[in-house]
Amino acid sequence: MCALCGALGASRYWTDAAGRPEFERAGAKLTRRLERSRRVDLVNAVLRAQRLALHDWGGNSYVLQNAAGRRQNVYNLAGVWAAADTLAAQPIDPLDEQLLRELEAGAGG
Amino acid sequence: MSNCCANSKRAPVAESAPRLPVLVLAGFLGSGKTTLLNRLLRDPACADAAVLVNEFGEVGLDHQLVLHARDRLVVLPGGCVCCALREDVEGALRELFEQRDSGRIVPFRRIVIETTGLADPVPLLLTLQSFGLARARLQRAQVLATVDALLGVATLARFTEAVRQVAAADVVLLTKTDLADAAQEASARAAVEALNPWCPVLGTRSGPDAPPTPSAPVEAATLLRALDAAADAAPEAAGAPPPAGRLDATAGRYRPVAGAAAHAACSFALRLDEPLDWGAFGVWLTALLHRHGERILRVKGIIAVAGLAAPVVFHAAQHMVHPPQHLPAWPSDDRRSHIVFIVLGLEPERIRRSLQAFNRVATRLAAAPPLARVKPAGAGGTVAGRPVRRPTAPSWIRG
Repeated sequence: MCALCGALGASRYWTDAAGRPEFERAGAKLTRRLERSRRVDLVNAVLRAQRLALHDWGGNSYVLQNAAGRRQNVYNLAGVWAAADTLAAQPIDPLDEQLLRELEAGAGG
Repeated sequence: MSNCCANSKRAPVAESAPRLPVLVLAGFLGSGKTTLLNRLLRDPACADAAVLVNEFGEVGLDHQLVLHARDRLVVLPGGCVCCALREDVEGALRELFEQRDSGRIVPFRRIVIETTGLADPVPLLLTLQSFGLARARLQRAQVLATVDALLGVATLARFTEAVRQVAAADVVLLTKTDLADAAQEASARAAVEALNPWCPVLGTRSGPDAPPTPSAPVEAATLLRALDAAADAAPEAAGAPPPAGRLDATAGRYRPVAGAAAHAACSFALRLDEPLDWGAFGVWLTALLHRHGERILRVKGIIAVAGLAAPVVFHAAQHMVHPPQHLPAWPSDDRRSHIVFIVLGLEPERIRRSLQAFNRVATRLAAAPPLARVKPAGAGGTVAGRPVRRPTAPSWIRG
């Protein structure tokens, strides 16, 4: 736990590849920071239509924020989607036709 | 205090003890679970089992029927074993192991948990996976589901609970085959195989392991062998495509269960030519399970991860995700991802589109220059969307 802010240390989640030798690519080590950065970018592409933004919080947790400035601190992806349900106007559905169209059209990029 | 000391002295023994196999007996109401349990417990291959029986109601009828393990029987009073009584399962297991370790009961070498006819086995599996004592002393639970050969097709078409039981099963046993004709048994077998393409289906006409006469029941030893084989299956087998003929995986089409319009249960396979970004797969699957986890009964597959030479085997049931396993090499020349889903009322084509869209967006984002993407947390960067400025002396110091 961080003695300064009281944040609990994040435990490993099944989606984490960085730091696991089985996932290390030949010649290009995937760092924890890079992995989290890419994850945040992708989640933001998905959540953009709902006017939500995800930020990495010190490589340990995530902060999800809506347009009104409400924030929630979460520790893994399951927590991100649960928090998105409370902060977004509509539930996030990865099978939603509109979301799929936006992602396919590159609007999420 | 004395208990504390006794426990601490006993702990090393428990840790060094071999982990015991667990059999979860599932099956719809009236499908013959208790009859099977009685038969199993009479068989020498399963005689050394401790049994946990759950009663859905106040009268423990099943308790009266299970005679051969009465001294090691823990009846869970009232409610559903898989939802409300998870703590009771933990308590019952703790009590069983305390009695075993203290020598008050004969040391059992297997645990059988009989669930109710309406129970979904997955929450119980989740309890066993997350409960410390179970993790330390029990192997991964194997689910044996019973399906009535006479009524099984109609039951699977009408009741989601039955579908969930079959989808979670490692082995399915067709029961009452002595009352069914060959056509009825074949229909029941086809319905099970359409729903859970990996699962061995045992019955009186189930092939080389079956007893010679059609009316003879499957022996306990045969069942235990099938369960042990499922438990010992190599990761390659876990991620391998279902047996040929059970699923039209090549075309990626899905097979709805016959007459299952009420809940539209189906299994289907996705074959993806492009390798998957592991980060995208994680983001996509967590989002999918969060929104539709109740309707995604099982996901199992072998995945070609971008940048890796060997595949990853993946397995999830509803909200329960097993840690991915890495294979040392591809089991065949086919290097494509192959993921099989068992779902209730979800459109396969949309699932494929969604996964591909997430994957392509992630691939495009990953191709961006790293310096533009990774902003330092120091001065000039951002933390939680806010700029980090160079530290300056406060005005009361500057004067």
